[in-house]
Amino acid sequence: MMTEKYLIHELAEIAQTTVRTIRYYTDEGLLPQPEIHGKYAYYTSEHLRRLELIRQMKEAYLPLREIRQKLLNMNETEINQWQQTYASPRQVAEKTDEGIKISTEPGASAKAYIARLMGNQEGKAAAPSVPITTPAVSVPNAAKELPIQSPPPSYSIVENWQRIDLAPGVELHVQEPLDAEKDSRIRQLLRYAQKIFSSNI
Amino acid sequence: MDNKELRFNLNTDQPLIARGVPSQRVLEIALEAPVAAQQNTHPPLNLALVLDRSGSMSGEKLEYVKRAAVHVLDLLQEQDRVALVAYDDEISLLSPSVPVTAENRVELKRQISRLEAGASTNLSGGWLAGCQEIAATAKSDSLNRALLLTDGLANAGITDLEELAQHAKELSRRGVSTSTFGVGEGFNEHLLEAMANQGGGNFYYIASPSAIPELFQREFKELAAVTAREVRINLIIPAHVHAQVLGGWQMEQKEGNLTIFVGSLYAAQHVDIYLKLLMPQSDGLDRLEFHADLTASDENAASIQLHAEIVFEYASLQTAESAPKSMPVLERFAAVDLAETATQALKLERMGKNDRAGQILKQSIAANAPFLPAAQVDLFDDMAERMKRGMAENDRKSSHYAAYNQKRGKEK
Repeated sequence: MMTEKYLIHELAEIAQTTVRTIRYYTDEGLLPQPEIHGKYAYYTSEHLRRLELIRQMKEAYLPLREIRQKLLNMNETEINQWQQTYASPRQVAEKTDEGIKISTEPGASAKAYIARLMGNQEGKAAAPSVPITTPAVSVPNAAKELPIQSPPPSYSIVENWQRIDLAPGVELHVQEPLDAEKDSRIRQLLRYAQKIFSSNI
Repeated sequence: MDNKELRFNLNTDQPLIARGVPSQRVLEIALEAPVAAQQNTHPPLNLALVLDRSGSMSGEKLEYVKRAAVHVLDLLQEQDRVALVAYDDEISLLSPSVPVTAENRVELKRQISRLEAGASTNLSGGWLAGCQEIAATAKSDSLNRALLLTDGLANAGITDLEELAQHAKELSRRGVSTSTFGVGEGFNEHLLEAMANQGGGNFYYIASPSAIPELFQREFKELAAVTAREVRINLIIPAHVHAQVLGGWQMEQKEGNLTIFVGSLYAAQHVDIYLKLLMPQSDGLDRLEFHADLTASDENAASIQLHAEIVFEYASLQTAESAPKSMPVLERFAAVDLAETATQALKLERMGKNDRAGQILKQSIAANAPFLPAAQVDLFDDMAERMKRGMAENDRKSSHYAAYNQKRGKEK
């Protein structure tokens, strides 16, 4: 097995990738250069192992920069350890109260996640939403008041942003809901903005 | 043309960018899933049907839900598994995850027929119970998905949209995806869309309960035809480039690394993902290179790794601006950009900010009109007018659904 040699398109086929990708990784230093004999470049099972390792690291969300670092700096033992802890969704490491547990069951990670969630749910009371009670700030030159918050909608929407006009063509975007402290700072900001936009430059 | 391999390409509207001023460009990530290697078989499915039986589901609606569930059972085979969860403010596990043998199918149908409408809606409880069943029986080659159906608002259990979307995302990363089905006018379309987007599944709006069986079937057909799974694209963004991803895709950005989680693709499915890029001025550089890596698993759980790249070259402002732009890319992009804005506008309209909603939609129509067919422009113009006047509930929902399908490039 150790003396297996592959041409680039053979390596691509076995590793389920493309020639283009292999060349790119070699250029980027993620794969060692192949052995050249005459006009042919030969790749070994070491290349195959590396390709698998790169796949695992990508699945663990490591950027290529970090992958390159690891491949340069880790020895055999360290690589094995890394694989034990982080490799592939099929073999997932879950942080539990007893430390990092590695499970080989396909659904284990999802199961652990849901169990934690349901455990938390039982102890948790519903957090009340913070009602915004600030009065509107008025700008002398504007005909209308600036409402900071209208009554909360009947259900929550992702990215609930309030747009407040500071001046023609100038807006402040505020994400709702606001806590009391942020609300008070924003009112300060609005008063200041009011000064700036009504003064003569 | 039969495509036996996953296709992955990066395209742009114009690869020349100005040296002296920032340039705005469109990046298109074009994906095409391969055709199925074997016909007439499908990957083992591991599903949970999570059915709302809250008070509002009574009568005709519940009958259609039952019919749809039975329909799906008839499509599943012995190598597939299904769990049945019914919920109102209580969760009932009508059946744990079992293989769909002839005997089990009979019992499952009996459970479905006994469904009766009840009280309020613990959507999160029902959904998580379904996911738990799936997780307990997941195999390394099974396609695991919860099909969540509701007609109302989540008013018990976890009700916060962001929280539910986050859990859907975490579960999809752990191998359990979620598709959502909203029936009627009472459900929260933004919640269901978020759970489906983050959960790696599909969202369906069911205006009339008679459509329930057909849409369950559509979901089943997609699942049965999956040829690539856990599709993930890692894009390296060069320094000082500002990138915005459209379409609501699940993603993560860590420094210059953008990862988009596409999920499963079915045979020959086309997916185009669009980014708005703002390129910096050249700081002594001649070009900016974008590299993207795609990882996925194929039908045999073997890993797919692909690489694509695109290079933008710096030129004088005049050269960059006068170079011809790719109309096909801009046309496809315009449709998605407009749909994305429409979704935002609909959120504003729902909050009572009608004028603002109509305004941002009109701005987007104006910007994208040069690249869209007149019929599209008229359609969205009319929508903007209706937003200004205030929309009827079914209009909100069907407009939201139309925008969702257009953002994700789905056929209606």
